[in-house]
Amino acid sequence: LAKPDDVLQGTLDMLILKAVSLGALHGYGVLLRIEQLSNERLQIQQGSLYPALFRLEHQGLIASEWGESENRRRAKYYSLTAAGRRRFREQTRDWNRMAEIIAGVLGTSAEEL
Amino acid sequence: VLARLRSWLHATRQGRDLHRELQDEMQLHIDLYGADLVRRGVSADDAHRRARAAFGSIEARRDDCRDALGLRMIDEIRGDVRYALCLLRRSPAFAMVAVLSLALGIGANTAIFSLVDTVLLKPLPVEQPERLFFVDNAGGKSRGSNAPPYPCYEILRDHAQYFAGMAAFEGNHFKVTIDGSREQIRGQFASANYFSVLGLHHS
Repeated sequence: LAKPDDVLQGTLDMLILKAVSLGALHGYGVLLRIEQLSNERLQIQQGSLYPALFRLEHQGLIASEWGESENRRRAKYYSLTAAGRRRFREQTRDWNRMAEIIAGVLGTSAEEL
Repeated sequence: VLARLRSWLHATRQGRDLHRELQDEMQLHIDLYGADLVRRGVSADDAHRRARAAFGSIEARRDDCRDALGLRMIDEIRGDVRYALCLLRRSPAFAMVAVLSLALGIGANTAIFSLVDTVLLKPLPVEQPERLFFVDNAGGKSRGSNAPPYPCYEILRDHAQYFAGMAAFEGNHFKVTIDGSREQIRGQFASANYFSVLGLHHS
């Protein structure tokens, strides 16, 4: 089994927005959701998750609410706000465009110039 | 921006609650991860230790989160202020001298500025202060007022070519009776056109 990759710097926010766009999650749930969505090929530094969550909430992109976890403990659930949904759409578009450009650059051979 | 401000205000107001909530949230994370490890066949003790290690220090994470909320600055300022107060308390003589010199400095500055403000910066409260000139005798030998005598003023007033008008005044002491008691007050004699030349209309 290959060791999972660390999340590329700057993409964690986008991944969190995606994870909570599929339904409200607590912190650990976000982690599991991202790993699941990546078919266990991405690994998130557990410590970096919470600052990111707080930052996103601070920016009004996600909202939090206290609820009960699956093991009946008090847990903070995060969900996407309208502003977060907009930001997520923008980021997805920008990311796809950038990925295409980079792929184009990296795939160019000498003959094509 | 509004959301940020609101979240920041919210966070600054409930410092202790935030602290506990962060603690709860992160502890839950560690416990859930530990439980998952157990489910994957790790022994309970080992799972707990590994979960804790993977998460890192809760204290450090908490600082990161406060940082994300923009509270870091407040935390640091609070620390600095506390340190400064502690130092000052340890050497009260130095603190006293520092406070006194600051007080004197600020006081002197304020006094000088208010003087300069009245004398130089604020325009006189007349209609066209920039067109107002004060004429006086230079080098007069008499004591007290050096003003030219009244007939001299009359000539100047009637023959002035470069002034729109000319008014005269002279400071003096007057005796006034108010409610049966006599008082001496400072006042001025003034020519009849005094107010109209200055553009003042008494209300």
